[in-house]
Amino acid sequence: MMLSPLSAFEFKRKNTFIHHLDPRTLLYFVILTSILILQFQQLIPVVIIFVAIIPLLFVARIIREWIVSLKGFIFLILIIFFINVFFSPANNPHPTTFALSMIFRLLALVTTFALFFQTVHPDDLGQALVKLRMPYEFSWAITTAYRYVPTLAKEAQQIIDAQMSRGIEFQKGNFLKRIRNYIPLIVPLFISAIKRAWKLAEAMDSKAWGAAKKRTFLYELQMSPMDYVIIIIITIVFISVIYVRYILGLPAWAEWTLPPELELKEIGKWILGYIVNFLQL
Amino acid sequence: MSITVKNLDYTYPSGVAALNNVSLKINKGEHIAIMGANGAGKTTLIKHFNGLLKPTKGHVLVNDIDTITSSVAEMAKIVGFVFQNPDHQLFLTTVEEEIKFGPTNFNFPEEQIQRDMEKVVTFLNLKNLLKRSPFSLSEGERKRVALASVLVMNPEILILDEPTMGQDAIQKRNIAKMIEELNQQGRTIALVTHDIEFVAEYQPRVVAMTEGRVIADGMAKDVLTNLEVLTKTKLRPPQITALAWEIANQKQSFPKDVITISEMKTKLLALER
Amino acid sequence: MDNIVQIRDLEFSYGTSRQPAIREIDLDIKKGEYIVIAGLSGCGKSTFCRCLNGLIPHFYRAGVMKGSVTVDGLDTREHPLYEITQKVGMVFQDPESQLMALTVERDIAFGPENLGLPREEIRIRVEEALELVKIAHLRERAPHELSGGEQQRVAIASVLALQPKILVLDEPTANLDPAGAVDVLNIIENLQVQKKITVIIVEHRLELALQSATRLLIMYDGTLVFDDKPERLIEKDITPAEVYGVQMPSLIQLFTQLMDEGHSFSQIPFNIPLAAAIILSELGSARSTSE
Repeated sequence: MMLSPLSAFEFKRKNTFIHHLDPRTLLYFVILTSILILQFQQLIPVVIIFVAIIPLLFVARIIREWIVSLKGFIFLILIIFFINVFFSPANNPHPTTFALSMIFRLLALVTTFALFFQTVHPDDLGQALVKLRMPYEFSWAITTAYRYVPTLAKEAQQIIDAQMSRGIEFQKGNFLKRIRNYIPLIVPLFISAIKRAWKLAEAMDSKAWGAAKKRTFLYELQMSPMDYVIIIIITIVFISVIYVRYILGLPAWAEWTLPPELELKEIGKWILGYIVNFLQL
Repeated sequence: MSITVKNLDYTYPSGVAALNNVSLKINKGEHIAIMGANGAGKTTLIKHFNGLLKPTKGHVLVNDIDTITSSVAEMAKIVGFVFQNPDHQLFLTTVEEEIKFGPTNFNFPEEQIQRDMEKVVTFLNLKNLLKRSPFSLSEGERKRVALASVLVMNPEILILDEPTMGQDAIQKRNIAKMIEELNQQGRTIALVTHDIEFVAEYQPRVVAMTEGRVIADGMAKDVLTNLEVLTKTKLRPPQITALAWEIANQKQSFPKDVITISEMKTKLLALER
Repeated sequence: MDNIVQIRDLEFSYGTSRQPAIREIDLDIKKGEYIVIAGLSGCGKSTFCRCLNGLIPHFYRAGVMKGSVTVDGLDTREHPLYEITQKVGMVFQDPESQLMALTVERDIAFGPENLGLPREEIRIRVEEALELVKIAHLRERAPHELSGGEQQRVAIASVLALQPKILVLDEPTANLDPAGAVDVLNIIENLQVQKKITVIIVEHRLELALQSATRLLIMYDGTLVFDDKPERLIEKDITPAEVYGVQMPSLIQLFTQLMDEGHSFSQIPFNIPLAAAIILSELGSARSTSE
């Protein structure tokens, strides 16, 4: 099972400043940062935002997990790079620069979300959603789905083992055959998920689910003064960046692009042309 | 058909070292029970017997085939592996399709499939269920179907993971009877179990594991009455053995290595005279 | 009047089948009893458990229930499930499917939170439940990181947080290794002895469970065929448990065989030290008569 890109978003309990922030503060951070990232297509501003987020990973002490999980994204990064370099529209004079900025954009977004999911306990996320007026049933469904990810992963592995032991080869055959190969995994997984859902419902009802109109919580989220300070800082940064971007206008250096001689598309054309010439001779 | 495990180490991708220099030889036609606490490495070990896991270091030879060089599918013709939960295996619409699935997948000749199926169906008493959906069956029946779908490929080695877990007395007795018969047909049987009363009753060779190592390997009578081994594997002695120890506490001459009821009875009646 | 459970002429059939899953059950259970239920799989034990905590008829609405079940004065048909669950706590076989929160502590808080109790009260109940099953050290852990035995103890704690007077356990040790099973059964015995909780447990490991049992029920084909002290099991006028597919612990089998040899015992023991003492005194006295 290739789950490594997902490990970027797995919560790990740590005792850091960021872990102690209210999930709502972090949610606010994620939303505003994502909006900012999506305002720029130029390489320099995107890189600046990306670099600005990195120190937060050190504060949250998740830098190692982050680097490991990035490996899972290498394939995706390469695809983005090649598509943007070689299949960019003809009116784009700097495809390589554009490709790089798309990659840093992806990295910045992934890092922002990773920071959120690695530092916010899923139960707290559920709580935050309730606080933000989402009905409890929905937030419960989200945290429960999260709760059962490891259980289902374990179960999927057991099914794969059992079916392989019967001689099923998941990786064999052409594309269509491979899809069919997965039926012996998917059917038992689905059936056992349904059975589990039934048992879960029984267990919930046996613990007085839905007894009180107004449910209470063992832990109530509390915004600390620090949360408010952080929210004010995030807001100021956000407004300033937007102000620079849309009112003042970006300075010229922010529009920097790779010089034409480093343009991969040109180099690629040149190599291709050379090969064609060579073959004709 | 024998299994030879030579200096086997296995470390999971997560970095957990599950097996540490395990060496073991299971001879053709033997019946062996692998016992130990959870996390001792029993399941990791048996998953090497059909190549589901490949050694980090060392070798596993099944009848002189090194599992490193062979696919799990190829091994499936020699080694049948029955897992604890039949629901992890059954996915077709009738019991018959389910049983025929393995051999059909291997392109065995149609007549042979039919013949082998009839054999296992009779053996496991599934005749009346052939047209039923596996999902409409009881837990015990599903377990039998899962077993049939493995046995139909005529494996010479059969591996069972916790066959008696959660089973009632009658089901347990049927499982024991079936294992005995398969063993008498010359098949090699290896099972992982926590069920010490079951082992005490049927007395296979016992391999005890703890922390990824084999700490005892011998006759049930010797391993199950060894206090040190039991402590390390977090197993409780069979009731009869515990009683023998308690009696020996007060009557030094009383033997401590008793595991069956009939033996205990004889010993007690001898005590009387 | 001190019957905490009263069952009259109980019958239930699931919607899918006309054949009743359980039938003709009449039973009174006194406060503080420790009842072990044994029987083949499919004999109706699980269905019976679900009748005790109100899942039948409230959760299995497609089925047909006849007769009545009264728990601590509540007729289960007339009171909503959440009221009954505060009288009868239910622990299921599969630990993974009954733990739904991401930490042990929050799992235990789940029930009291559902009741809408004030936070201080939830805190008290959670601490008490953690103590009762001795898992305070696990409070921050995620359920999927725990061993089966630990998971089952969490499941018991999360039910105790509703402060039930009766605990029903449907094969709680079936998925556990022996060490885990012993842990769980010890905790349950403790609850019965110290907290005076009435325990009703479906259990295959009779060699462990009968040590604490005050009463054994054997079910066969949907109905009760034995209801007495476990000691009565091996008396001559009783149908042997094997007929109903219940395997007696090897200790009891040994005593039965010794009785067949002409020995008689003052008491039938379910634990080892007592068994050794009884055997030594019986065989000792036999020796003195033969000399």
